[in-house]
Amino acid sequence: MIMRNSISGDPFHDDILKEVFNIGIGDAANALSILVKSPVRIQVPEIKIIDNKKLSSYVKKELTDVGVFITQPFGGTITGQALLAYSKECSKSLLSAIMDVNKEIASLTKVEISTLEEIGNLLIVSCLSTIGDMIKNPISFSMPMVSTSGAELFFSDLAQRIEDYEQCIVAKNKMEVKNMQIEGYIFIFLSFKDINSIINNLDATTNR
Amino acid sequence: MNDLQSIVKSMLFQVLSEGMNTGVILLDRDGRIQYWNRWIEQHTGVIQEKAIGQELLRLFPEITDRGQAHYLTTVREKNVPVFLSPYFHQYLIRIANSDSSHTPHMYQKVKIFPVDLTEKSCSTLIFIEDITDAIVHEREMTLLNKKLTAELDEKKILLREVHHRVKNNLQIICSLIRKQMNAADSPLVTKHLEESLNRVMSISFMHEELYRSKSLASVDFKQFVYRTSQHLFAFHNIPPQQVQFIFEGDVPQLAIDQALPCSLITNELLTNSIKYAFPDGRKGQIRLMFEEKGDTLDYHFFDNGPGIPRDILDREEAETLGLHLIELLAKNQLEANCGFTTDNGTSFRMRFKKQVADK
Repeated sequence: MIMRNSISGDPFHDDILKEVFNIGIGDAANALSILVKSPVRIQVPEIKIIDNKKLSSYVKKELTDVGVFITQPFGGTITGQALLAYSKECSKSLLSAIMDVNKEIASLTKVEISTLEEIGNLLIVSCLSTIGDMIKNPISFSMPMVSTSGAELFFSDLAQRIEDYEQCIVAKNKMEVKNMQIEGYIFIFLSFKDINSIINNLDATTNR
Repeated sequence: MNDLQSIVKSMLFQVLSEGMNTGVILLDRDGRIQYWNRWIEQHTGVIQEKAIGQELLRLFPEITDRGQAHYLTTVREKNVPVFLSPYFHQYLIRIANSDSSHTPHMYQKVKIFPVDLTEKSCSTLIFIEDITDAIVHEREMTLLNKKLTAELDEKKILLREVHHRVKNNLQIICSLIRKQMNAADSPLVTKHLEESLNRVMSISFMHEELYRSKSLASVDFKQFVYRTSQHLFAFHNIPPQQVQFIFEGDVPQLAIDQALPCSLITNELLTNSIKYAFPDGRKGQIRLMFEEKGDTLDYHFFDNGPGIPRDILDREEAETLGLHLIELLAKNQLEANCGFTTDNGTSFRMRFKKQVADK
């Protein structure tokens, strides 16, 4: 196995990861289409691997204001934290498209939280399961947790929970439900070792 | 795992799950029930002895009929958790609600996990949480919210109508004053009537802005100033080429209680400048500036005319109603610190605490 000190900026790996995420997210979109009884299209147009040290500057650029965050720890051969993040406006659009409710996300009800848990679980599990299939090792998942908070505050709290992981795969995703465009972010926090393992497996799969 | 560990773990699991206010079902790899806790026993009426060893899908065929059996397969085969929200699925196992006035069945939040516990045959753990009360409460709140919104909308329409009628009535008063002006044979009477007419017009503009305003509790003061200045310049036949009116700064939305005195003060100051600061076609400039500093507002009115003579500004002796009005409105209604300076033209400044408009 090749051990790298840093894995980022390789367009080949980005393309492969994008493909992997698009496969996973395609499954989630199909499942979601059945649930909402309307076509759902989700795409991952942008993917990158960033150092967690640079996470706060990325978040400041991409996610401002209050948002909805769905976290889900996972374990198995690779261990980490997955996070699905939506900005305030996109969270409102998501709830509006899925549940036909138009409201401020600061006051989510139990039903709305559980709906977001189901959607978050679908997206996160689909993406990570595809990675699990690729590295031929199953991944086990814990319960997802929904929270609403200011992005800066959320990520500063998250920092303690992800201190064992040095890097993060960030997949920007665009969902289209009932003529609404919803942009979200999937963050997968992993250690150097695990991210190396994924990349090496991707290289092996593609005979690189 | 040795036998003792296995027994301890199994007992611990049972103790924990019996105390839970949640349904707990454990299935083996073939979908047969291995564990059925007291909560689920009480709610389904199926006793543990009857449930254990049975296939869940045979015991509750509705799970398959409602297209939910594949979730159990997904958990078992793909080794991933599945969450079923009541919004999409309502329930996994139909449980009749004792209080049928609310909902005919229980709304459930269901979590299904793949497990590898003490026995190799166990594969799926199902947690069922009753959230019927939360749903009923949310529905009641939604209905109440809709009702309140409808009532509020109705009140807004009525209030808008009131402002509209006040504005129309003020316009009628303006017409009456105009008629009196035409009939007046004294220039002094005409002058006083003119002043009254413009004051009433100013209040009328404010009500017009109010019924056009979205919130009904605050007004776009910039729009008001624009209307008032246009009216006053036209009324006194002052062409814009002669006197330039400049309005500067980001004008905040003013709460109605502050917008009315501000509008009357602006009307008096503008009237005063237009009438006295630029006699005999003299060219000049009038400026109005607003500056928001924290929770205070600075209002600065300025013209580059000769300045109001000191003896007129001596308010103890002054008999001009306009200057009295400015002072009264600024101090009594806006609780502002205010004052005139006349070094280079006429300058009036006031500072007051900004009131937050009710939404």
